[in-house]
Amino acid sequence: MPLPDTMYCSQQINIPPELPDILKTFTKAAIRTQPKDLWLWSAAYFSALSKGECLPVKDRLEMNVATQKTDTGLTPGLLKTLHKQLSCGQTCSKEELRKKWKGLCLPMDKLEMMLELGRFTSEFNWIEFFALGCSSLGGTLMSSLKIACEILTEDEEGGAARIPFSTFVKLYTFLAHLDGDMPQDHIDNFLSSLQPLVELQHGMIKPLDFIYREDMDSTPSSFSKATSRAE
Amino acid sequence: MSVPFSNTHLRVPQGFGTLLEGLAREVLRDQPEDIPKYAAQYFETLLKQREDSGVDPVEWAAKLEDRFYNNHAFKTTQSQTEDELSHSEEDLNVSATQRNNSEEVNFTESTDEEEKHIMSLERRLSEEESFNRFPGADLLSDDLSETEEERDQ
Repeated sequence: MPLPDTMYCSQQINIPPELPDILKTFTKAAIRTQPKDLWLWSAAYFSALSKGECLPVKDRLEMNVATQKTDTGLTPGLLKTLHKQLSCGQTCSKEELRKKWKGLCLPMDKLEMMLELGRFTSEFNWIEFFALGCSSLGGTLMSSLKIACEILTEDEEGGAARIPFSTFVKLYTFLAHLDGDMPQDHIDNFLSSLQPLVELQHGMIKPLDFIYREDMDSTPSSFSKATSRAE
Repeated sequence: MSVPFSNTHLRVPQGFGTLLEGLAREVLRDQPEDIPKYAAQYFETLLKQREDSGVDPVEWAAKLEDRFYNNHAFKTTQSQTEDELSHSEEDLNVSATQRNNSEEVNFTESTDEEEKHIMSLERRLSEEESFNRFPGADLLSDDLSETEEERDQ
């Protein structure tokens, strides 16, 4: 309904019936996500909303927010949001990732660093970047995999955090190869040692299955190793 | 608008009130068919303006909010009244209220100036938008105002 030419009182303003709901959801999303750059995030939010894409919104409020001084600025909540936004297709383009990364107010130079570290081509498997993201969150290979399980799982929060073993294999092999100095038979041995347990659990694996299995917690993760090498 | 005495963690981000207000106002003004699309364009334009001007509206709005809630104007009056404790109580009360009044006036005046600044910013924006969309709108309103003036005469 077009507005009348002359305004006499506020009752003449037509309030679109869907507006209150849009503003309410938007506000709740802002409170939950606590974006660093409000305007940038708002633009990304409405751009995603108008295109029917997944919104740049965290599932819930995160208490410990990354400082972006020494780390990549990534938090488990943000990585999960990115995962929801980008995992729809098998592959993901660098452009798409850059756009979503920026929309979440994450530092661009850190993204470029990560892209270089993983030697990603312009089209890449999303799960590989996801693995690298987990690696930047967890200190060791095993804790990175644990974080990955916690983000990817469909179990309730605080539950067993099970994920399909096929996904786990992808994550593990990518991170282990990135590491460089892990021999192939070591990787194979580790994965095959998990196989009987996985079959008992209908093809699922949970952090408890592998976290104490290997005495690898002393090995720093590929990410921290590569960053220290770069320095 | 953020309330400083609420939950420490679950708080509306700083400057969000101003942002929401601006968005709602422009939506009501232009009555777009597709609100999400319109909102996306609205924020794109503002982002571009921010990049061009180098002024961060969020930071600025947050400062404004901070000023509204943590009114520093009263702090100075308190310290001054403490200095004048030697005066009789009646005098003290009178002077304190007077000073409070004068401080309030100063405060509102300065915010008025700032509001004018926002108004001018917004007017520039809405002018640009209306210029892009309704080239005839200005003419129409001019015509109307003329007839009103004629009626007055």
